[in-house]
Amino acid sequence: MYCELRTATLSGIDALPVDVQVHVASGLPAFHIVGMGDVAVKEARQRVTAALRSCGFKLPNSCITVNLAPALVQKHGTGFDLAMALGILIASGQASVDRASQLLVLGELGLQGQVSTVAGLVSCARLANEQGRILMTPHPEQLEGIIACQTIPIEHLSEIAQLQERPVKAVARDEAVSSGGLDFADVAGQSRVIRALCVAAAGQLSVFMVGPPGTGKTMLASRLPSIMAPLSREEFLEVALVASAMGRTLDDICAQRPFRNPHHSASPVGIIGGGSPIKPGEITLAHNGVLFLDEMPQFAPVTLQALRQPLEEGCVRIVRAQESVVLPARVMLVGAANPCPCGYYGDKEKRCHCAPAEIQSYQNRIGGPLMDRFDMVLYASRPPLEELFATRPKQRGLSSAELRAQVIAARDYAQDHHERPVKELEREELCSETMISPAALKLLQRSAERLLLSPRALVRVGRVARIIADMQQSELTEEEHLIEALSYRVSLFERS
Amino acid sequence: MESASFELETSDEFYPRQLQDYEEAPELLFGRGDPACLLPGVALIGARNATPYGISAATAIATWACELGLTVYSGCARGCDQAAHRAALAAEGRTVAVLGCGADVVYPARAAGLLDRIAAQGCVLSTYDWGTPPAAYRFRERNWLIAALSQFVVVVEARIPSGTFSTVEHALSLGIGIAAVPGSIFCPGSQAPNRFISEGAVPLTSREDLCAAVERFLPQVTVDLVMRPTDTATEQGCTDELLRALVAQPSTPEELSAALGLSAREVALRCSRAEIEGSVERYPDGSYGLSQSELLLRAR
Repeated sequence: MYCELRTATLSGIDALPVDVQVHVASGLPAFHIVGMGDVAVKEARQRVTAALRSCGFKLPNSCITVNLAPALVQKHGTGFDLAMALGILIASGQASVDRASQLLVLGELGLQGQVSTVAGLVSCARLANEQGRILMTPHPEQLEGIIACQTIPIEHLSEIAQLQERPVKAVARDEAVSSGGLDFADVAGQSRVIRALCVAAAGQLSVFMVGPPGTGKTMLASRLPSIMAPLSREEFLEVALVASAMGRTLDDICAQRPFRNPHHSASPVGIIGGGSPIKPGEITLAHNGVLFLDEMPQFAPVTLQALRQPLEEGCVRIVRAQESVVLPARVMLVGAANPCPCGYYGDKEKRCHCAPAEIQSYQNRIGGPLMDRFDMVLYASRPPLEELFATRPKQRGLSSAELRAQVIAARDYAQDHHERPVKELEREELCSETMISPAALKLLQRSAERLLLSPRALVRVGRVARIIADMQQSELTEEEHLIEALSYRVSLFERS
Repeated sequence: MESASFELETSDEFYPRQLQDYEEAPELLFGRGDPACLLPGVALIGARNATPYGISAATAIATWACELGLTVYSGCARGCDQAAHRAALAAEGRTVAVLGCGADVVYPARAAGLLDRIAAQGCVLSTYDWGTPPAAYRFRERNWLIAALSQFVVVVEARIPSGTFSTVEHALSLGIGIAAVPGSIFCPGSQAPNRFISEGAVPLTSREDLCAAVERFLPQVTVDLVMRPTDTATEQGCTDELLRALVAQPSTPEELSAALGLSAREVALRCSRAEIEGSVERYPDGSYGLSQSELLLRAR
């Protein structure tokens, strides 16, 4: 009169094993669910009861106790429904399932007995693999191409008698990368900024774009994923983990890197993650992709400052009294801002009406320490009209496909020639004889003195120069690479 | 840094002699620093929202004026004023900041350090009692004092209309000479000085112009008109098409690309190289212009 089935609950984007213990004993008829479940878990009683009856089963006329072990961990959601129903059927002898102890059961029940997918499917599949279990869930074919897994599909509770195992393979999905229709060829002018974005994409560097309204900052940023190198297998799995934990269907995850552009009214929790249960924030949703913060000075200062640690570490540690989770947060940060509150500082046609103190305080809203996390600053200016109306192909810029080829070539060259990603190279390595030509090194020293570069800024310039050299397949960083890198250096707060 | 405070009555030894001619002269002056600085000199006035050109011009003229032994009077406002004070301090000359609030009040707040240095090396002066807070109307009255203390007023950079006009009007009513630094006809900041020049102000384009102005307005000061040798580097620099394009006004690489017939990227690379060499600076809006040192090098 007892049955135990394994299922899982989400903590952040990781699945934690949970055992559904069903005890059916004589006593006054009752149905108790214990083990720190939230409202959705408690309501399983009604769903399970209705589903069992709809499928012609009987709810045993005895005292049913369902315990979710470990009982001290908070549990959320509807994924336990299927395990509870199965447990009741097995414990009351109405059904038997082969190898019940080797299953990981996951699914929400409808009142008619239909089973549906729940959030965190990919995390649970990974847990099932780790524990050598078979994942019982509806529509396991959606895991195809993401993660290999032994599965038992179950679309309806009435199928319980004729379940069949079905392996899911992790064969790569269609490699064709959809660019979502966004292409750099659509951008008029701005060739200099596009070139710089290409460098940034090759090194996955953080970029800050400054320019008056209407210069196409958003247009440029939204096209970044179309030129970034395609996701690797592991990266793809990580993106799928996050997406499934957020309850998104897995079908629309393509090989293109994520692009997230939260509105500037976003709260710190919305950006970083948090809440109860802890949900990933925008920075985790943008993991392995682009986090675009438009109108960056308009974000609340606490929100911006909260970004500092995740950007440095590549992950977010969220600590609450009940639980603490680590969420991945390796993003390419792209910030954009107008040069001043009115937006026309430095514009040739429109006069800027801001007082210098206003401009200063506007720029200071981002704050030095966060500004320090940017590797490059790009200035976008309004393109002249003739560029906007250029229709002949020779006047158009490079397409995303061409730029992407450059990015991939640079990445491949870097992988063959450096031990670590360029983003992580330190000063000693960047300045070693095998990496930089003597003339360029001298120039770097001179520019450090002349332009008052801080040690950190110096390293950033060195890295950018290295990436430009990689793009040209040059073994040594030469003067020309360095000069280009210096034109992207961060100097927004140099003068007061 | 605490510097000595002083109060000057009209009968005082240090009460500026140049004020004694005027009926409106204040009966009491308050100050910090050395009242012996209140000697004949030149007033530099200009916009707070100055361009790098204006800052460089103010720096150059204040430096020359100190070399000629003149006191540099200004208002310690941001931009041209502060550039003039800083240059005078750097040249170890005399400089006087005339404030529109009490001489012990720090205004503008960011200039606290500068005011202390001025008080240590020159003096900070006001007609207002200790502790008087700043107010807009006081600055118009302060402008009278700046004009009256000086032998001639140099307008560095100002738009039309602007507060600079009140100083110039005071100077004209007191019979004090006006000089102005000409600028680009396209630059809003040079509208006022160009207008003054067309109406008869002395154009200041070089050190000799300043010497000539001193001879005219301060006959008591003897000026040694030593011609400085022209820097050969300047001559060479003039041949560089990039610097020649930038000397007129700061521009973005996109704007320059049309003028120079190069791609924007090529221009940006050239600007970046010139920046390392020190002849060009990147401004906060991403445009490039000649650096201050290059502009001063070009001033003769």
